[in-house]
Amino acid sequence: MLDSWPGRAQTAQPDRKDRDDLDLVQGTLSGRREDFAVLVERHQRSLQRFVEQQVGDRAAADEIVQMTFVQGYTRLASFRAQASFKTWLYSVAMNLCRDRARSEKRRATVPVEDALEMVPSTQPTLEEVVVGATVQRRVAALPDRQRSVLSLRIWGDLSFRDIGSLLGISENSAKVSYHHAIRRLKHWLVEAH
Amino acid sequence: MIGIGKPVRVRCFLLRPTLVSFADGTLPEPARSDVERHLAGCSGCTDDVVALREVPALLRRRTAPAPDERFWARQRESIARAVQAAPAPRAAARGVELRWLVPAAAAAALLLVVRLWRPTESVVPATAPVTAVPAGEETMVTAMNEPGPVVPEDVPTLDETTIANLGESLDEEIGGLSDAGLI
Repeated sequence: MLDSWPGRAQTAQPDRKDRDDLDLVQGTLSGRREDFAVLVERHQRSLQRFVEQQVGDRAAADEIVQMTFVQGYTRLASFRAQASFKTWLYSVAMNLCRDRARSEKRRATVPVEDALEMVPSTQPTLEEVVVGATVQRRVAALPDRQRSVLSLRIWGDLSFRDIGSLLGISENSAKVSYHHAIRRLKHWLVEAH
Repeated sequence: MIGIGKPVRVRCFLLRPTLVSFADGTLPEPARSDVERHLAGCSGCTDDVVALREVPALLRRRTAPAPDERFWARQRESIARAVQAAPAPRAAARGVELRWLVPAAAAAALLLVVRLWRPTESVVPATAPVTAVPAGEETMVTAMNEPGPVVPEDVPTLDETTIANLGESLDEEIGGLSDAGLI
C-alpha cells in the first residue's frame, strides 16, 4: 500500500524491495520519496512491536512509530551509516519513548482493560489477550537496561552488536543484560505456574 | 533471589555472554565444543541454555496479538501524508546548519569582547594577601569550608531486589571489561 507516495505510480521499480537499506536511504536523499516508502514498509512491523513493548500501549506506540519515521525522514541527512539504518531508526524511536516516559512519569504497564481495547479484528481469545498483557507487565517490570536489550532483541530483531552501539554499551554487556532478563522472566514464569 | 543466592562459579560467570550465542546457534567452533564440554558437567548453565531458548519463543507467542493488515496500511498512509508535508531531508539539514549560524556568531562576538576587554582596576581588594596564596588555592579553601552534602540519619537499608539489581549491574559492567579483554 504505497500508492499515496508521490512518484510511486510513475517510477515504480519492481526490484525496489530487493534493494538494501543504504541504497534506499541514498535514493531518498536524492529526492525519491517512494524509496522511503519501502523503508517504512520494511521496518514498521518490528518497530511497532518494539515500541509497543516499551510503552505498553498500542495507540501510543502507533503514534511514536509515525513520529519516528517522520523524524527519520527529515533528519535523514544526518544518518552517517556508521550503524545500520535500522539501528539508527531505533535510536530515534528510543528517544521518543524516553520523552514520552519522562512526560508521563510512570513506568509503562498494560492494564488488562487496556489490552482488551487492543483486540484487533483477528479476534484472539480472551485468554490470549490476558496472558499477553501479563507478559508485557513482566517485561515492563525489568530494570531499564535489561528491558531495552530484551525488547530490541526479541521484538526488534537487532544483533547484540547493534544493541550495544545503540545503548552505548559493549556487545558483551548487552548479552549479559539479556541473560539476566531471561533468567528473571523464567523465574517469574515458573512462579506463575 | 535473582542474581544472588547460590554462588556462581567463575567459569560459569564468565560464560554468560557466550551461552547467549550458544543458545542462538551463532557460536563458532572451537568455542562451541568448549561450551558443550562445560554443559556436560554443569546443570546450572544447562538450565540457562534451555531458558535462553524457550523464554524468547514464549515471549514472542504470548505478547499482545499483532495488528491486522488494515492497521499497517493506515499507519503507512499517515506516515506518507506527514512525509509529503515535511521538507526534503537535504533541505532540512541545511535548515539545521543555518539555525546554528546566529548563536555561533553571537558566541564568537562574545569571545572577542572577552579577549579584548581589560579591567581598569583589580577585582581583588588592595588589602587582600594576593601574593601569599598561589592561584587557585583560595578557591579550594573556600570549597573545603563549604558545608558538605547532608546525609540523612535514617538511610534505608537495601532490600533484596535492590541488591540483586546492583549485582546484575556490576555483572553487566564486568561483561564490558571482559569484552575489552581486560579480564
